[in-house]
Amino acid sequence: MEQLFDHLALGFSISFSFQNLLLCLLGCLVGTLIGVLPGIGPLATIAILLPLTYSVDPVGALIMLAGIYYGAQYGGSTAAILVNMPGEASSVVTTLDGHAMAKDGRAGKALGIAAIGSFIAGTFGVLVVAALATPLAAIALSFTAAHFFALMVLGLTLAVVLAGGSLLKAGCMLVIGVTMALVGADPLTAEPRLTFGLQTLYDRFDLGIVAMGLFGIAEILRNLELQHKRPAITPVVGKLLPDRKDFRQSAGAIGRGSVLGAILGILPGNGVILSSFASYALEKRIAKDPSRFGKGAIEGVAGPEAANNAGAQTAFVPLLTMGLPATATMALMAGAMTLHGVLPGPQMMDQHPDTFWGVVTSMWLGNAMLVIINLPLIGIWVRLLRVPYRLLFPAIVFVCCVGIFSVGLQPAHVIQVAIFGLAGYLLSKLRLEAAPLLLGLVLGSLLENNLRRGLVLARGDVIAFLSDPLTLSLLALSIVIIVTAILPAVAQRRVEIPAVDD
Amino acid sequence: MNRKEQAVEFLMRIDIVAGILLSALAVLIWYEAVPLPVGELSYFGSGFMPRVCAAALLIGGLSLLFRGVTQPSSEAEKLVLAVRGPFFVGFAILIFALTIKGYAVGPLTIPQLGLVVAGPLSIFISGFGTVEARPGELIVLALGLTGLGILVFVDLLNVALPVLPSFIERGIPQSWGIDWPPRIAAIILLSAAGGLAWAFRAADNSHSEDMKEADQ
Repeated sequence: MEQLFDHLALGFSISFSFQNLLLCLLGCLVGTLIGVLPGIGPLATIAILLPLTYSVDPVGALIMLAGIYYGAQYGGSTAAILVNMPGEASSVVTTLDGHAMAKDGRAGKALGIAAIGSFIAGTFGVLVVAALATPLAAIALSFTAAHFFALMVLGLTLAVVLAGGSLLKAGCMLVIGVTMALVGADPLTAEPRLTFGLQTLYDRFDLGIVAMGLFGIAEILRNLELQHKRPAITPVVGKLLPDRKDFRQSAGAIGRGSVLGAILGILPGNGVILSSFASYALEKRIAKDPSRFGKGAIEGVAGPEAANNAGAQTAFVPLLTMGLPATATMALMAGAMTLHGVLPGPQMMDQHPDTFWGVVTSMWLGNAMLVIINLPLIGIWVRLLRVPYRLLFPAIVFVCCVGIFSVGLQPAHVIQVAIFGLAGYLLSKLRLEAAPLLLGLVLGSLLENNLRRGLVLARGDVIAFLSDPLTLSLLALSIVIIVTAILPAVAQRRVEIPAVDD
Repeated sequence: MNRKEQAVEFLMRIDIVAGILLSALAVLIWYEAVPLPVGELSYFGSGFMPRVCAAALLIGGLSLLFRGVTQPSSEAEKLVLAVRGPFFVGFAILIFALTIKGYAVGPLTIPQLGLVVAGPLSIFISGFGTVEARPGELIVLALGLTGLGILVFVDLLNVALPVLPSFIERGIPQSWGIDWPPRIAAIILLSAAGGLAWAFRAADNSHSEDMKEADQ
């Protein structure tokens, strides 16, 4: 316990430097700026803004990135409450009661409780991350290559099963992602592999480019098809701060949401989205008068918002402790870390304690900043929501072009963004979710290396490879999960979880 | 949304299209993996994983195809692709890539035109991705946003983006330094945007009906 506080103190000494505070603020601001735009979720936001962080030092870049992540999360809630348009899947539930409150003239209170609930849950989430990090990393350090391979298989299985939509299609996308990770210089011989003789492919697929195309540009193309009426924005009236009665009503919901979110957030796949749905269902079930829900019940905003924010924190746990990103958003974070020379994983805490704890504490800082900056700035975000989409999307295209070009000063990178954008559009039209592809792309090489190392240690004997109890049980669990998911009854229920981008 | 329509054509069913595409991709991966060594289980070569993936993808693709062929017509979903948005946005990004630093496409060599040209072009062209596009508005946005972009990226974030066309860059005396030419370009772009916005608004007020027609 004492050690935990030492670590947090070290972290705060890093994250409270002037430069890092500024980067955190900047990240939160631009994250909210893009995240508040309807239809653009956290994943697309991070993909679009990732190049901005390239010119900063590693710790600063990660802190800024974390700010972008929370900003995007929070921006989504604002759009959900004021325009009834969830900017991201995890705030779908917020539209139910949040928008009802807004129509009822309580928009200010809805925004206020969403921010405060998120902050409390975020604080709890950070503590969970900090507390779990050391023991989990210690376990991870004792893992063999075979364990890691089995754990990755389990994680990817869960990610595919929980992703919503067609299991078969998600699986195919995962395989494509893994294959894309294999393209390029062979790790053993440096010979070209699957390159079709192209130099561009020899240089490997760049995660930033793929993500910007598949999520940023493709998202725009999808949105362009929707009819764009001027969204009806409910004016922000009433006080921003909830009163004593509101707090009493929502305190329990925030507490339950935090715990629920923290647990579900650790799961691969869309634990964050799942948690907001679960929290809403829970609050409705235990409410004395369930009929209030959908008509502006403040618990219906506080609970899910707390849950998705706690989940957004604990989603970092698998990445920071095991080095295994469990969602597409975390895959992008992992890519960004690697790019800055910080390999996420159990060694990170030993090798870069300042980075590790700096980032963990900056998560909390980002949450605090969101409360401080977002409530007073709500007027600006509302005005942004009024900008017609016909002007917004060319601006986003421009930011994408400049962003990706500024990273390597390579026109070819920009062309690749266009190609992946069009491909992403086609994929989404074919109902092929791109999120598992990104996970596969990040984990593909690790998967191959660990399988190879595991087999080398087992001298190529599959029985020996599987004889380790942990490996065997992790792989067996994956098979059980797949089989249950394929069973028709479960498959029916999966459809109800909306397909999501994170 | 197509439930009420009559039978969805086979080749337009999304599961069939997806199945064919994925299977084709699998074959392509296998073909490229053939020359790679498979090795042995005790130390597998670079061709092992690609083959495993290609096989898995082929199974997945064929299952999708099978599902698409066997599903009742009422459950089939039709593939509907928009053309306008993807075309203009894709074209805009391509133009940005070709003009920002110069590019040689076959016999044609495009000189470096810099952000002052690539920026407005990409914004203006991509703006036509929607039927709601209004050219006047887009010109203002294109010039203004590029000016702002130069200030933020080049001046503030110190990204070494080419701002000016190479033929202008060469003509600038050394004594101007490297900070001021982009800054001046940004200021010119921003004032042009401001001036145009003002002019359009004035014109819009005097004969708003004419403008609407012209815009459409």
